Amino acid sequence: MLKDITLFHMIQKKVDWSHQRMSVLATNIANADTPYYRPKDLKKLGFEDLVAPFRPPLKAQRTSATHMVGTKPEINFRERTGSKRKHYEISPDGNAINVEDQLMKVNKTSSQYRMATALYQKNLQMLRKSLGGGK
Amino acid sequence: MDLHKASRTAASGMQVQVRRMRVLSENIANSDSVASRAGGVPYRRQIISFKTELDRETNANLVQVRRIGKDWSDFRKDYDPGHPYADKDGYLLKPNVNPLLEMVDMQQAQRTYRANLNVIETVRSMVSQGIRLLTTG
Repeated sequence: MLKDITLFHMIQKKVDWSHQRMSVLATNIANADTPYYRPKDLKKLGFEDLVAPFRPPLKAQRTSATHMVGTKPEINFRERTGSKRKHYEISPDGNAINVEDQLMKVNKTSSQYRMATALYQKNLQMLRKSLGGGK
Repeated sequence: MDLHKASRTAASGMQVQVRRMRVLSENIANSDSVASRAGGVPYRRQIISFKTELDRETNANLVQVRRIGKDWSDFRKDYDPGHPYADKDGYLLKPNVNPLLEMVDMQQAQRTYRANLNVIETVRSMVSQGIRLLTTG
């Protein structure tokens, strides 16, 4: 029921994204010495991704029963496929992980998660207060 | 669930670095081990290499040791005619270990180990924050 409120849905999505990103970043750091390994990352979470279920999508109108309506399946946080070639610092064994860079991303993800949980707490408090009970 | 995957992956990274340290310390400890009999070969340097594997149960990407192979470069030759195992020219075969290289490798291993530890600590703080949400609401 809380998920129907846009704000809480956004927070939930942010939290899910943080979890998945931690998993991907941990894989990168653990493979800091594996030959020929390239770093992976998730796509950035944009505003459209966060509010997607609340914006009615433009659907093609069926004017005849013989026409077909297609739907695209919902993809969960696609991994960034290198359409834009990033420049990596490649070591002699082929490994391209920069550990400091990955650790910085870990920190960023962690602080975004902290912000999401703090927002959740605050908004829940406000909701409770407006319902007239509790601290 | 994804957070536990992250911990699992980081833990596998640490395990792999520990094995690397073992191989490196064996190399350093044996950096002067000559043959055990006349005409034999001294200690040969070992090399470790890693691979990424998907663990079926937890669906996490784990790092594992691919193999511990040997470095087939030539042995060092030290001129030591007084040694009982020296060959006819007075040369003694010594292991192909360069202690300096091993030390640098050890520092790299330590750095990666610490980075993985950092990930585990961050994941732990994220999980405890989530739990705190439950207790304080």
